[in-house]
Formats: sequence, structure tokens, C-alpha cells
Amino acid sequence: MRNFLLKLIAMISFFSFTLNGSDYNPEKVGLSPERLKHIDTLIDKHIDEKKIAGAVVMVARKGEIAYFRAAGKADTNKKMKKDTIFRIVSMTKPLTSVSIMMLYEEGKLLLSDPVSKYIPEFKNQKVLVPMPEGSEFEYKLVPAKREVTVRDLLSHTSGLLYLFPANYFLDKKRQMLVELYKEADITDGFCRPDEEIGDMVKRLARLPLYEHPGELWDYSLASDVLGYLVEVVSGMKFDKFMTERIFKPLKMKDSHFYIPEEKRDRLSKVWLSDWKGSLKLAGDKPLINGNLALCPTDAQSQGKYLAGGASVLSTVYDYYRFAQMLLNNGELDGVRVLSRKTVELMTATNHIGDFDAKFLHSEGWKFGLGFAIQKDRSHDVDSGSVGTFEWAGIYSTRFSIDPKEEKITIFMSQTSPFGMHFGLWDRLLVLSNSAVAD
Amino acid sequence: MRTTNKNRLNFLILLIFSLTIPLMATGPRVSTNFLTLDENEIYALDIPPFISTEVSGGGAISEIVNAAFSEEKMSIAITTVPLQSMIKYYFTQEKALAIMGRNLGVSEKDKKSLISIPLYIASENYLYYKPLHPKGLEFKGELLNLKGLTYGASKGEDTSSYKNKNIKVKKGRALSLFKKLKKGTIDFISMPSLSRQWFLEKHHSKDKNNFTVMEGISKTVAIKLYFNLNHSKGKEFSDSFKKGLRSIVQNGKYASILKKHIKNSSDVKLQLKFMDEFLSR
Repeated sequence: MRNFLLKLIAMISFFSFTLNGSDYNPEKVGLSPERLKHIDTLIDKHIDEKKIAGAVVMVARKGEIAYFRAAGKADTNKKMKKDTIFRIVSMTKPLTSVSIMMLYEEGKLLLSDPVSKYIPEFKNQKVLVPMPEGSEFEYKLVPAKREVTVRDLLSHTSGLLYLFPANYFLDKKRQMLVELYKEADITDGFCRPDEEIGDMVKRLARLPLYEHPGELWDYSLASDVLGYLVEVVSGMKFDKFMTERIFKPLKMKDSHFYIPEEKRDRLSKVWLSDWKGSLKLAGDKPLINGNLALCPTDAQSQGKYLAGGASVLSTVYDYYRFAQMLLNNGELDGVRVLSRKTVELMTATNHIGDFDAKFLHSEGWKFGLGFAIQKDRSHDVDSGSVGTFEWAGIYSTRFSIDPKEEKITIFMSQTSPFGMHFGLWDRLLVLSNSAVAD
Repeated sequence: MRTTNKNRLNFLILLIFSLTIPLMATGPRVSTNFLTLDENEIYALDIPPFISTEVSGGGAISEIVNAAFSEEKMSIAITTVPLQSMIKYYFTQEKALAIMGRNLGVSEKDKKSLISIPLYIASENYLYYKPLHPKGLEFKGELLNLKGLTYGASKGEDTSSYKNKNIKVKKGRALSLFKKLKKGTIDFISMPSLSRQWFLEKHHSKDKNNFTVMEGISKTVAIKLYFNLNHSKGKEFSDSFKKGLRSIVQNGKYASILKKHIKNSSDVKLQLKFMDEFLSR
């Protein structure tokens, strides 16, 4: 009798362990467990070398989680956990793009619609042209050849800018326009101003464009404009729309624009790393580096700024559910968010012509409606398959969806500056792809 | 053979008709938005709630301008821009028909090629953030009382009087000036009461009571419309506008627009009195 009870307890323990998701079966979905172990080594090495404090990594294939591990610290005396909440910043953009495409599917807007149809301040925009040294005025403004469309915003071909790339791209026109942005209190939204997103968007619309719409690919505030467009078209506040239409249906229960009081303990701190072994907590003050301003603690406030390009907080598991919905052509667990045709349009179609989406990648990467898409395998950054689509966040988060291999890879850390992290992200994808064993 | 050819001809005519009718009916895919550029454009610097795309009708001043032109059966386009430097660009480089606003930073040289028409006289007060100055700040009509402090000025504002009184000056847009007040990087700002109320309600509703008004009028500033004599129709539009303005002051439209936006009958009376004086000159 005693033996029977012990066996029963052991069986219950085993099943509950598995059901809790602590145990995975990579082989079942064609992934090598031994090779996935290399990810442990990669992440642990970066933690040991004090390049990052901690991270959560997930690899899923064929609809099942095959690898899910938290390592290191989320705070000085707090372990990183699988349910740690991260500032996903620019990984908000795909969520915003999906929101717009839901409205598109309902016939509420067209990709070809001029944005001014919904936000009149976008009418009659001008493009900034610098004048030669010694001119009476330092720039002139020429009428845009055509209006900015919804599709331009989704594909970052609108002619709008972000401020922070002006730290790296030093051309006179960009510097001049970024100064105008600053003068007009336009920010990248990584610090959350005490206003509503529509206030910023309406000012931005009345400033000059960097280039004629459709004549460039430049990573920009376009997703923030899209977030406001969701508000205008749906009649709902952007956070409410996202919660009701995406987070709740997809059971993304830990995704928010501002962290609720009861989940504050789960929000990871942001760490500063020089990538040479000096690692410290970021503290409460804004992190300012030229044109880049980051305010990690703003996520803990209760503000009203809802940036479609930057504001969402989430977990690896929640983002996995969003990514799996996309990989499943718009459906997850019987909930359809988008149609197959729309997901194809967003992820399988190059929307930027001959331009390359080099900001996070290299030549050979194109852009869809919210994601960078790998076009070929003959360039420097290889994520495994042609057609892989992905994006990243400025506190070092990245996701990658490979439709051909039915594989999702998600990495989340909270480390600044982001420029050091490309090697780690790329290596992680190499390891994830190398684990494919069928 | 002939019959066949005739049938083919009839079919061809029918086909051409069937193809052309829908084409004529729908027209090509040309965006009409490109056909709306207006030479008769007024560039305005936003100063909510007087001039702002966020206020119905573009704000009281925009409504007054439109009403005055409408009285003369003329139409113009008002484009509101967020930066004083853009106003300067449109005025000096594009020879815009007119510019409009407060603190436009028009130089003495530029004033010679402008006809200015005041539209609203705003009395301003100084404002500070009480939690950072718990003992309070006092102006009482004398700038020397604020010596050693930092004043937050609008771009384009004449700040010589502050510098003469040993008051430091930092410049910015209204929204950022409020932020700087709270941060303590500036100590006081000047603003018309309506604008102050608008900004506090919209952006600082939770702690609006922490922003305290100092006793005494800080300055009186006119929100003006400036016609550009370097524009081929500058003088003509200026004359017509004055006529239209006179009409709307006399027929009560000017007052009704102000009442709708301002809701302060003594202020409306003051504006009417001033406008009567200006138009009788």
C-alpha cells in the first residue's frame, strides 16, 4: 500500500512537472535536444562574462515549445524567470501593424488611403531640402510628390524619421530635421511624455518630411502614427483596442502598456553593459546618449502616452502566442485574428522595392508590413530561411519567425546599449537553426 | 461574308461602348488631395486655444479670420505650423500671403514689408510651480522681484527686459516650458489665461493646482495677422480683410465667435472696445 502511494505521488509529480511546461520534447518537433543545449552555453557565457545580467529564450516548432529557459538575474537580488516581464519597445510595432491590418480586413481603411483622410494634419506635407552654406535660409521646403499612405507607414517608406538614428547617420538633412523635431517636442517615445499620442502625431505631421513618400526606407515614428490611426479609425483608445482585440483573444495575459501595480515585481530592471564586464543597474534617471533618450522607469508610471512603436511590456510566452498566431496564418487555438491572405501580405511580400531593410540586418533583407523579411541567404545576416520575418527591441529583445521550418525563436533581455547585441542575437539564431534535425 | 463583317463591326462598337462607359463613369485613380494647394495661404503659429488644429474651427482667431474673408466672398487656407522658425521660412522664403500668431519673432527689417492687423489682445500673467517654490514667487508689476531666477520664454519672444534685470532666459515651446517648470530648470513663464487653462486641463489636469499665477499683468501681447507686401496680393487681401473684419465686428459675428470660445463676457467687451478703436483709426 505504501509503495503504491509513493508510486502514485511520483506519477502525479511527473505529470504536473510536464504540464507546467518545465519539460519539453524537442525531438518530437524535429529539433535536437543536444544542439539546443548550445543555447544554454551561449547565454550562460554572456552572463558569466557580465555582458548581460540575464535572459529568457524560447524556441518553438510545429506549434510546440521545444526550449524555454530563463537564466541570470532580472534585478540584483531577483532571478530571471520565465514569466519575467520585459519592455519590448520596438517589438510593439508588429502588434500595432496587426491592429491596423485587423481594421483593414474590416474594410475600415485601405493601404492606399492617404493618412490625411483620417488625420487631416498630414495634408499638403512638405519635404525638407537643405540649402548650400551661406544661403539666406538653411533649408527650403518642397511639396511632397504624393501623400503619405497607410502602406507607407507600415513599411517605413513614409519619409518620417526617428531621432536616435541621427547619432549614427550624420547627413546634414537628417541633423537639420531632427533639430526641428526636437524644437517641436517630438520624441522617439522611449521616454513617455505627459501628453497623448495624438498630440505628438499632429505636431509631427506638420513638420517637414525627410524624403518624398515611397522614395526611401527609413526606420521611423511611423508605427506611433499607426497607433493613433487605430484610435481614430476604431474610436477606441489604442491600449483598449490592443487589449480587447489582441491580448485577450490570444490570452496574452501579461501584456500591457503600463505595468499594473500587482505585476511590478515581475518587471525586469534595465542593465547597462559596456560588453567588457562592467554591468550595473540603469537607475531611475533617463539614459541620454545624443539623440537617444531612454526612460526605463516610465513603464512603471501610470501615464497616457500610448506609442505604437514602443510602449508595450510583455513576456516571452505572451509574445510567443502572438508569433504563433502569425506563423499559423492568423489563427491560434481557434481564435482567428487575421486571415491567411493578410498575413501573407504582411510577411511574405516585399513592400520596399529595391531598398534594403538594413537597420537591424544587412543587404538581402526586405520589409513587409511591420517586419523585416529575409529575401535570400547570400548576405551577412542569415536567420535560417528565405521568408523568415523578425524584429527587435532597443533593450535587447528579438523575435524571429521561420515559416518554412515552422519555427519561432524569441530572446528577451533588458540591457543597454542595444548596439552591442547583434552578435548575440545572430548567434542565437544560428544555434536555433542548427538544432533542426529532420 | 458581308453580314459577318457587319456583325463584327456592331460587336466592336458595342465592346468599345461597354468599355468606355465605366471608364468615363469612374475616372482614373488620381488623388484630388494634390489639387488643393492654395496660393492664398496663411501660415499660423499654434497657440491653443486661439489658433490650433486641436480646437474646433481651428480656434477663435482662425474662425475670426475665416469669417472676415467670407464676408468679402473670399477664401483662404490657414496652415498651422508648430515652429516659429517655419513661420519665418514661409514669410521670408516663400513670400506667403500672410502669417499669424503671437511671438512670431518678426524682425524690424521684416516689419517694413508687413501690414499688421491685431485680432485679439491678450493680457498675460506669470506662472510658477508651487512645489518647487513653496514660499511663493512675487511679481507685483516689478521684474526686479524675480531677479536671479530663470524665465522660460517662447521662441521669437523679445527677452531683452529680462536680461537687463539679471533674469536668465531659456526658450522653448509652451508644452516643454510647462515640463521645465515642473523639473525646475526654469522658474516662471508668461501666458495668456486662456492658454494657461487649456494646457493645464489637457496636460497637467492632475496637478493643475500646483501651477500658481503671480499677481499683476506680466505683459499685454497682441495676436496679429501680418499681410506680406512681398506677396502679389498682400495689399489687396489686407484691404479686403480689414473691410471684412469691420463688417463682422459690426454685425456681431466677431463677438459671437469670441463668446463661443472665450466665455468671459468682460473679456469679450474689452476686445470689442479695442477692435472698435483699431478700426476707427
